[in-house]
Amino acid sequence: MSQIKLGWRWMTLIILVLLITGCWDRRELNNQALIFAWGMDLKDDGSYLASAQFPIPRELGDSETAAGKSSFTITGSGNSVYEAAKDLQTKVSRAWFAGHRRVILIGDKLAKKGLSNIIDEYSRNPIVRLRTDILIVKGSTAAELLSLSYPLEQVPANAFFRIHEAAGTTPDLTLLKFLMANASEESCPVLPVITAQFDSNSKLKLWGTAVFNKETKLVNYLTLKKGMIVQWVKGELDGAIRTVKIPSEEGNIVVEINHLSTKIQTSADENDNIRIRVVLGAKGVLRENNTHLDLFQTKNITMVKEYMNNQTSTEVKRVIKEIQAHGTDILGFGVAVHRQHPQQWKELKKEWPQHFQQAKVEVVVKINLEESGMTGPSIGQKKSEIRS
Amino acid sequence: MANKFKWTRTQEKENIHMNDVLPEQKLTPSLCQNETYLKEIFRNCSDVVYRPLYVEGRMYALVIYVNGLIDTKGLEEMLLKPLLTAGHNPEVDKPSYFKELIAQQALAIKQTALVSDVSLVVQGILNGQIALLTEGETEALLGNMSDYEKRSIGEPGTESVVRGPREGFTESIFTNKALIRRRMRSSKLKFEMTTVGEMSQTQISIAYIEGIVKPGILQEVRKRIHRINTDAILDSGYIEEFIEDTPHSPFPLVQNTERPDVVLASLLEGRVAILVDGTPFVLIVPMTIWTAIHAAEDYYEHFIYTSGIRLLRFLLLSVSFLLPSLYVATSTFHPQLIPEALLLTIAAARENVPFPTVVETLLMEVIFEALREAGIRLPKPVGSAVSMVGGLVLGESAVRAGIVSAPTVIVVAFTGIASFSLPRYNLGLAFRLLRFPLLLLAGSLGIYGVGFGVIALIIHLVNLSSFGIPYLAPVAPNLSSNMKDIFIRMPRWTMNKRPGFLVDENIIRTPAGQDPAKNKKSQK
Repeated sequence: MSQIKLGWRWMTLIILVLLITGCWDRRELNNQALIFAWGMDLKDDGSYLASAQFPIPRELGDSETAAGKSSFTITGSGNSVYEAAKDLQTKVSRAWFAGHRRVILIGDKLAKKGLSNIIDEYSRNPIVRLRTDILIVKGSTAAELLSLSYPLEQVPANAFFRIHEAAGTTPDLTLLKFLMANASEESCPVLPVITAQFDSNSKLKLWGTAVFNKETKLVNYLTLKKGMIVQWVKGELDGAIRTVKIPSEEGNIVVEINHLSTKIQTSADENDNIRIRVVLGAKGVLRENNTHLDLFQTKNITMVKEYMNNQTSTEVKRVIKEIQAHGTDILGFGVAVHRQHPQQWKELKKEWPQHFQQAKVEVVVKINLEESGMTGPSIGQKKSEIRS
Repeated sequence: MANKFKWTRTQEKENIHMNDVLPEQKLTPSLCQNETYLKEIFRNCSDVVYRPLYVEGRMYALVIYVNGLIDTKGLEEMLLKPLLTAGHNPEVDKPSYFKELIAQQALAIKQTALVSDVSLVVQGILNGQIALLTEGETEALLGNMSDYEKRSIGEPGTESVVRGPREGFTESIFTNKALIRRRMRSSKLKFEMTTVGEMSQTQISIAYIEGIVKPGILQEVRKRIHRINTDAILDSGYIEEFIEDTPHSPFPLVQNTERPDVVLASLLEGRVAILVDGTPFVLIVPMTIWTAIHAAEDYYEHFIYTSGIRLLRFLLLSVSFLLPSLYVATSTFHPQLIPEALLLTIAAARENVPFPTVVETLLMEVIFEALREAGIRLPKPVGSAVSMVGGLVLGESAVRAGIVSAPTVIVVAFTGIASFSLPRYNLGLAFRLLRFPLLLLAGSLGIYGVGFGVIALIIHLVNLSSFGIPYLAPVAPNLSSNMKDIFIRMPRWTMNKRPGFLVDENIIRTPAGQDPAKNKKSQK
């Protein structure tokens, strides 16, 4: 009896706690608008333009009833990010839910002005996921890109994400890497760049990489090719394709490289002169041969290897020079110096961008050609043309 | 001061006064007087038969029995015929005549006894014995000729197996004891007899194996059974409720089974079985919760397969308890936990549904439980109608009409199937019941509420014990040497000991070194 009484008392307490506090976070899915992509632009008058892409659940369900567009985009403007977002909310019939926002697009105009104002919310709000892809829009605005429809994907927002994914990176980590690089004392952050061609069929295209300085302002663009070299130097690339021009022949040889490795050796003397030696290694597999060379011959292979290493190191050097000119260390040289000369780093870090700019960089490429394929000379060649 | 608030109650001593025979009442030498007295006791009992035996118009003996409880053919052959011939013996008037007759073994009856108490005579007659009263004798002869209509041995309905013995218990305790004894030809197997129920006088047998069972557990079982004081026991469920450790818990603390092999396997692990006359369900104590994922067949099939199935059952147990709550909690409180493609599908399905998810799920759960209940109670020929109406009309049309969403139907259906897959029906019932409060918690507090509910459940479970054995043993308290037969089943030659938390002595079951692979090697 007493046990039952106690049980009733507890039950009443629990029910009262539930009812009196009014603590009720429940929100049904059909009362929420899911944000899948978010865009931020800077307008000409200096105010922000926020845009959000919502999937329309009604159109995504039964294939019979789905007729119209599967998503829609709404924009709002204001003098701060928060104001723009509030303005946007007044145009949406349901409370929005940003927990599934995987893509953030940022107009290049805003990126050039600096991202520090807007990036804060992305790391502060607990609802927003850290595994977000951020892309810089080159040539148009984020709002324009978000209003495009993409026939292959259920929700167009996924197109940005998947295009980035198809390029061989992990798009989930873009925001995290950006924040980490921004917070570190050595590196500068990078973000991928996407463009849209409004006239042709393939509307979206991954363009390359945007380089930011320590004030999170966009300072330089790198094309996809250059961006890949940066990744190789950083040790993040899994594989690539190199086209080797053979000067004595008409045509070229294509080598697929994998098992990429990077070694960065640094030295700093007492006058804080930095010397950096980048050793890039790889295993190569010959994929295409448009020349007259018979690649069963060792001397030809050696020649190809030599040309390939020289051309690659020249290219890598050119890219590093370009990056050095902006003083933005996106290559991880600062990290290497910090690790290899921790004592000197305490001094160096104060003016690292300048030191980075003035560092003497030496590049050594060691690609080993391991397979030449099933045939020696190219099959399309006449016997007389083959040079052994 | 503290005593003032203590809620005290007086132990009420109540006895059942349903016996109209005075305990010390003895038989009288006058047969007529005895007859009148017994007829008064069995007034309006039309199934009691009185068969007087006359010599020259004078009654010299009276046979009393209950119609249908005794072997009538045997009665004629063994008792009436010899008595009728003996009745013409001139010595019939001698008071000790019948005693002599029995001494001469003229009456071929299985068991006989001479009693002088009226109450014992009445009891004997009701137990299916025949009572023979004679003129001038103050003792009545009770003879056991018990025989009654029984259901034949069939396959157990609640615990069917693909491989394994197919005999199940019946309602007769004698048959049940024989079923057990036939599989264990050892004098160590004991059946302690007692009767419970003031009026029903139900026979109850406490079965155990001497030398394996802990005396403490056995003593506790005896004590609790002797404590029972009620009018009648109609099923072992009555006993179960009287001897449970924590009667307010939704979890069963006494296992029941219809299978003799399960009873014997439990006895060999040091448990005690309680057989009750009139029901095929035998109780086994102490019970641990892990029997919920153990089926009889686990021990007859290959151990690798069995281990996989057990892990699956464990998963299904969690599903049957948690899935609806997790669905409600994630879809209404934490949509970020659902992968986006799945979330879009759920959102699309929910678009036209008028109810909140928690109400919708509760509604479907109630409908499902109603279908299940209707399926059990309905006569078998109508049963298919229920599944048709339930499955087609409710499931399909409710989704089409947009009253419930398809994901909810899937969640509820899967939960239902999962809860049916548990081998112990009563433990499945407990989890099925607790699903509803957990669903309410999930609907009001989200994942936090689910976590709260699960923690409360675990606290409750670790506090339970059955006849002194922790309910979660050997997982909590952790007795890792006994874990060979919990989540997986190890091969029989490695499970060479009885569970240590149940057995103290004679713990070795199978001497070591019987791994067939090793034996093969050593032969070479």
